[in-house]
Amino acid sequence: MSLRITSPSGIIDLDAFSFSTVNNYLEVKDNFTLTNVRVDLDWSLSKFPAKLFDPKADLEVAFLLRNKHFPQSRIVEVQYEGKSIGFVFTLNSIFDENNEFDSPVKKHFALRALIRLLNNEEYFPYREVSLNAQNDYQLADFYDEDLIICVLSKDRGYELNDEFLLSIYVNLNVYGFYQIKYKQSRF
Amino acid sequence: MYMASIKLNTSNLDFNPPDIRYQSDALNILLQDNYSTLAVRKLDALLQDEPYLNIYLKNLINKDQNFFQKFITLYQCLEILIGKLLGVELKNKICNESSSRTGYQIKNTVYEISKESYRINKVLNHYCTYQFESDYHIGAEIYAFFEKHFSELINSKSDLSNLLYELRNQLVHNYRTIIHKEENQRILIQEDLKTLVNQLEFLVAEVIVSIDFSK
Repeated sequence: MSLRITSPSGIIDLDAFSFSTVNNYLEVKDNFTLTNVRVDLDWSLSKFPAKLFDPKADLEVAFLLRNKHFPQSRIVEVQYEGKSIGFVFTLNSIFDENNEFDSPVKKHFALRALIRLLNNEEYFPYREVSLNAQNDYQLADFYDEDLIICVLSKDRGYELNDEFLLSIYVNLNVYGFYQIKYKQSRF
Repeated sequence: MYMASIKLNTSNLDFNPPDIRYQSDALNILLQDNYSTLAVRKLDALLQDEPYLNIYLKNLINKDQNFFQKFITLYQCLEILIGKLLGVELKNKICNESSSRTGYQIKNTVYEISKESYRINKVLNHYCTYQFESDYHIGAEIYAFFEKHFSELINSKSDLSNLLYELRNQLVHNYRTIIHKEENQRILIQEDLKTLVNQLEFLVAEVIVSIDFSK
């Protein structure tokens, strides 16, 4: 379900995804009204493989969490049997000047998180936003900046099936992370 | 003039997350290092397809509940664990050793392992790889709660499993006596219970990830 903006004349679906590896931005927009949400990054997107920019690419499992005690700029690496399988971080941390996204691997996960959030293929719960006069919208209008996202890669040799994910959910709960509760059906 | 506005429509997002939460001790430890890694421990095979745990994590624990509802939600996890443990202990102590035991011994063993207090004790002190007695302060907190409000129900030998079982009995079977107490005392007890139950949440999560029924 793409991000949506409500206007007096109906719903505007931001369902057209684009990006620039030259100007380093990601964007979703409505091709008819040109209403858009754009995310500018202060790091280069030019070296990432093309498949990372495919919103439908089945590369990872991502889900949203809350933990009011989790620092906004921190990143936690998730490991299983000594191997890295993903990261947990806040949406805010991606844009924080002092963020810890200091390696291509971390940037990879941040990039995929942003693409996931912008395109919302998972039916993440988000705020519905009303049309504003400036026609200017930020990702933070839809998702709280302190929202935590967990992104787990599917290519680390482990099947991220329901049983394994249950283990991950409980492990996260040990640290006080709670899954965002979906009010509507995800499917 | 048309005013710019962003309407916060919460119809699709739960904006009422459980904010009044205690900080997990494990999170404090995790964040002590400059670079934090969270090592996932895979759940015991007997728990990996347990449907209640999925519901618990996706729809119950993230909901604002009063301490009483929350305790029932949490204790249900322990009920599941002690239920699984019953099967494990029956297999280990009866099925695997039945030929060398008399009927009387088997009956006594079955009686012993069917006791809830016995199984809570086994879950915490035998099948968990985590050292709750020494590393978790929740036992001291529950002890202090009983000492303050129900000193007649405990003794110096009460360990974490005894205390948890007694707490469960007070809340499940005897909560009406708390409700009927004089108002000031009732409020005090309920406030203390709220604190305890919030802490219990992390203990339950730790029990679930660290239990190993193959021990």
